[in-house]
Parts: sequence; C-alpha cells; structure tokens
Amino acid sequence: METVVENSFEFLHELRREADLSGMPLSSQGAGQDVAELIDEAYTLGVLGERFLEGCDRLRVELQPVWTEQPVVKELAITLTADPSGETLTSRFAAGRWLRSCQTTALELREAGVLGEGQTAHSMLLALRRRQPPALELPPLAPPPWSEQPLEALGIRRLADGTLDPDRPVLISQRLVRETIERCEASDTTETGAAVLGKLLRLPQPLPGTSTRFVTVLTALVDDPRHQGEPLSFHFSPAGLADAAQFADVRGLGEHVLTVWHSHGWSKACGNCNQNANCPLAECKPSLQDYVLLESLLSSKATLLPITGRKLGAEGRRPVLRLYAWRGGRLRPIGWQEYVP
Amino acid sequence: MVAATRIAMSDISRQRRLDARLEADGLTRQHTVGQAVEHYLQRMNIRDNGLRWTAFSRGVKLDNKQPLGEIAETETDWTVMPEVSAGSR
Repeated sequence: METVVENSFEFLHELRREADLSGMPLSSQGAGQDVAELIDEAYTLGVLGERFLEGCDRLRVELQPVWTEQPVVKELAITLTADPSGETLTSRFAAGRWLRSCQTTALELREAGVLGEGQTAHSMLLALRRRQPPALELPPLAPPPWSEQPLEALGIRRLADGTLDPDRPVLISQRLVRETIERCEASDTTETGAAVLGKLLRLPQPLPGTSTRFVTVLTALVDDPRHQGEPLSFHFSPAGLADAAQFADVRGLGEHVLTVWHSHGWSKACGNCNQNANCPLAECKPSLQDYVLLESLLSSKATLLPITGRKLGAEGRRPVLRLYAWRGGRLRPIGWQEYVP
Repeated sequence: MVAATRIAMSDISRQRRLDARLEADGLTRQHTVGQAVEHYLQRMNIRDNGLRWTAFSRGVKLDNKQPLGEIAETETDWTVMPEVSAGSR
C-alpha cells in the first residue's frame, strides 16, 4: 500500500514559561516524528474498525491543525482516505509524544534548577506553514496479524463480568485477571510483571454492543525469573520474553506475546490503598517509564497495556486491573470482559 | 550451511514486521546483526531511546557483531527487543 501525506506544516514542540509565545522557549524540538506516530495510530484505529482492509491500494493522509491561536495547535485532525474505495476516516489528537517529551524535559530542568519547584512550564505543539515542509517519515503502515476464528477456537466457553468498548472489544481470561491481582497483592510494594499471551481475532459477527468484528483476546501470563522487580520499577528480560514467545508456539493456539503486564505496587500492611488519597504508591496509570516501554518494546498502536495496582476511589481493599489502549495520542483506560475457558 | 538471502525482523508481538532482502533493501551480507537492528528501528520509526537492543532467532540471542553473510537461512526470522523497564517511577 502506498501512503501519500498531504502536509504543508513543519511541526515543533516547545516548552515555555508562559502559556503563550512571549519570551524564549525553554526547549524547542522538531515534532515531525511525533506527528507520524499519530498517523500510524489513526490508521490502526481504522483497521481495528474494519476500515482500509480492502480497496486500499493508496492511503492519502491530510493533516489539519485546529488552532488555539496560530501557530499553537489545540488539536490535530488527521483524515485518511483510501483509494480506490474512497473510504475516509477523520481522527482528532490533542496529545502525542511531544507532551511526554516536554514532561521529561521539565523534570530535567527542575533537577538542574532552571525551573523552580513552584514554577509552571507549558508544553505546546506548533505548526508552522512552509512551502516545502520537512517530509514526515512514516513506518510502513500494515494491519496487525489476525485470525479469522470464532471464540470457541481459543477455548472460550462463556463471557463473564465486564463492559466492552464498542470500537475496541477486549476479552481477558478470568484466570489472568485473578492472577494479576493476587500477584500484585503478594509482591507488595515491589513491582511484578509477566509476558501476556493473546491473539487478535476477527469473528464471524461483532460481539453484542460492539461495532467491529475484531476482538483482542488476552489469554495467559507467562512468568520468567529473569524479569526483575523492585519498588517503582520492573525490568523485562528480552531473553525471558523470547522464551515466552517459544512457549506460545508450543501451546499451538496461534497466540503471540501480545503485550506485557506489570504492577504499580500495593501495601498489604495498609490495604487502604484505594481509599487513601495520601498513599505514596502510584496509581495503576501509565507512567513516563511505561510509555517508553510501549514505544520501544511494543510500538504497534494496536498494543494494549494492562497495569495492576491501586486506583483511588475504587471499591474494596484489593488491587485493581486496568487496561489501556492508544486513543487520541495517549494511553486511555478501556473496558474489557472476562471470559471463562 | 545455506546462507540467508532475506531477514524478517519483528517486535515481540509480531504486530510490527519488516522483510528485507539482502543486497536489495538497504542491507548487504557485510552488514552486521547490530546494523540490521538499527535499520529495522529506523524503517519502523522506532526511537532507540538510548536502550540496548538485541535480536533473537528461535529464542536464541544473536551476536550483534555477526555479519549477515554468516547467518543461516533457518535463522532469519528475528524478534528485535530492547532492555527496558516499566514501572511507576
């Protein structure tokens, strides 16, 4: 498939002391690669919605900034049009990797004393109109591999608790959910994790309440002693993940290591982690470190990230499993439904 | 040993994949495994983030210094991964 990008802007991300363009920026860097990632995300969103799979010899990409005040971008509208089918999809992005880069830079500037503790820094995306803007280097856009199978082919007998997002249905083995909660609880403030096996299926019919036949199924955890946890961090061993992939092959169900799971810590002694607003443990939300993990180890925009840990306001005295998917240039929590093998 | 004529590199999830013919798609038999990994990262728009990257074939780690001309045809489906950590830090 040929991809043609229609773009007349050079993109920059800047970190500034003020919320406008007055004064000098604290940092200023090219953001073309960040925007290219959003095109990839928009395409993946379309594919998982069963678009662009047929009649897509050529994909035209149009970038249209929505301004806060020109040249500051509030949102980026990305329109994909397939030729010859004419199918079109517009997605809007208010975030992207530039926000994470600016957060990292702000932390570094605070450590260096350039930014004071109480001082605010503002990150912004700028789009500068150019006659010959720098080319956006896109990765080859291709659908993630999937199998045309019913759920029964993976041994799924019954669906249980949970709610599905209509455009991104995900099923998770009841056992996998239970294991992540038990292991997070047992390892206390030391983080723990594992490879996650799974498969992308295209069902004969969409599940009730959903709009796509594509369903991601997360089937099992594969542990390995070479993965190492400590408070605030969990290291994934490439050799351990490679062995998990071998294990997936042996199971013979066509699964892959679709993602990795890790915990963000829990306190057995307290157990009040979900109710205590002053709990020093991080919630089960993606950290900057988690973004680096996903954007390097698992860079497909179809990747899901499960995290277990505390969630302020959640009921009960046990850790919570949350699942994140790429939406609008950042990882957002999505729903899922448990299944019983 | 039958020498490789192509290398397929993918991420651990198999959702990112690059097929490269040797002597045709920017890689030659003189390039090393490490250089092929760099080629993959560049083509797939993946930033190396200063991480240490390695390629695995059938679960076995490849030597980054090995020339592609010494890779057997049976060892050409690679998984490319970095040493990386997740966590709440």
